[in-house]
Amino acid sequence: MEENKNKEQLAKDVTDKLKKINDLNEVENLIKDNKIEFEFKNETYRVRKPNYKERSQLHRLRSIKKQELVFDKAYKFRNQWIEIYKEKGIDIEKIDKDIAEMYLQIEDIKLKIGSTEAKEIKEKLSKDVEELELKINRLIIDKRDYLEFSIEDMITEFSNIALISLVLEKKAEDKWIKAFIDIDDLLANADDLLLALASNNLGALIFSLNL
Amino acid sequence: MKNNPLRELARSFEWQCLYTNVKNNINIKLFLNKEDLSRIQILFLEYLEFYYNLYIDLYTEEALISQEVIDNDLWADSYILWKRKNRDKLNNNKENRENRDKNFTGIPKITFTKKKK
Repeated sequence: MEENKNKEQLAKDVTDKLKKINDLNEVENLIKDNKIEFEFKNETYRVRKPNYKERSQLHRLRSIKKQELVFDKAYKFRNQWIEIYKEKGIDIEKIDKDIAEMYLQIEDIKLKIGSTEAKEIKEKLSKDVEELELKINRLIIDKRDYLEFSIEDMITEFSNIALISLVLEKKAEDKWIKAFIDIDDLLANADDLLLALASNNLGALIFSLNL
Repeated sequence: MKNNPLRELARSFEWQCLYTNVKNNINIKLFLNKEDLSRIQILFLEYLEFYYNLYIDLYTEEALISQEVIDNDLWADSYILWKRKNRDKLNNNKENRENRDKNFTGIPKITFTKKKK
């Protein structure tokens, strides 16, 4: 119960922090350089793109983790989980098909929006797109929940944390120093909200961005 | 539907002016870093080009485009999608019109074909 409350509070804190990003000045801050600075508990942090040495380190950490998970019989691959869920009546492959089908429907509606000048029609069709996108998002969240303990998803999650441990820096007397010595230091001492902020900003630098 | 702030920035007057100058080879830096662009910087450049093209369509008075369409992410995407799907049709119509105007002599066109044996 207490843990759920903490999670809710954490989710709210993250949402509040991320809402700020919607300010255009914040967005300008994200694009001005290939490093992103942010404040957390009165300290300045930054994330940057990993260099060659850090990418090699990440690769090494990732492969060690992969071996650990693959040789441990407690963990399963995505396909194994998909089969297990199928036996319990949950068809994850159908979720993928439904999502693909809905994307096609969205494309058809977009073509209709693009081909008309009538504002009322555009607005009505926009609501249809919004509803479909909402359904897609729900299905994506469901799928992520079903597969969160698959070896593939756990490696992705681990890689994100490992990358943060390599490229998250803290400002100390006008110098940038590593925020954590290594991944063990990070796992032992990092604040969840700091990790969420670092992960979101790092996402903007090297993956895609959900603003 | 909520607009994406990155796109709002890309279609802003200030950034479109900067981008137009960069396209015209005027030495202006868009970012502090010259190389090794981040994912969001690349995405931003794509949006700058996207809105640059939309504004060209607006100023050349293409059909179905308006400031209202440009200001709405979904409507702007829909317009571009529609335009891409109809590009061949639009180009063919335009070419046919141009050829017709260029070749118009008032004399009916006769095509000679080989007689089949």
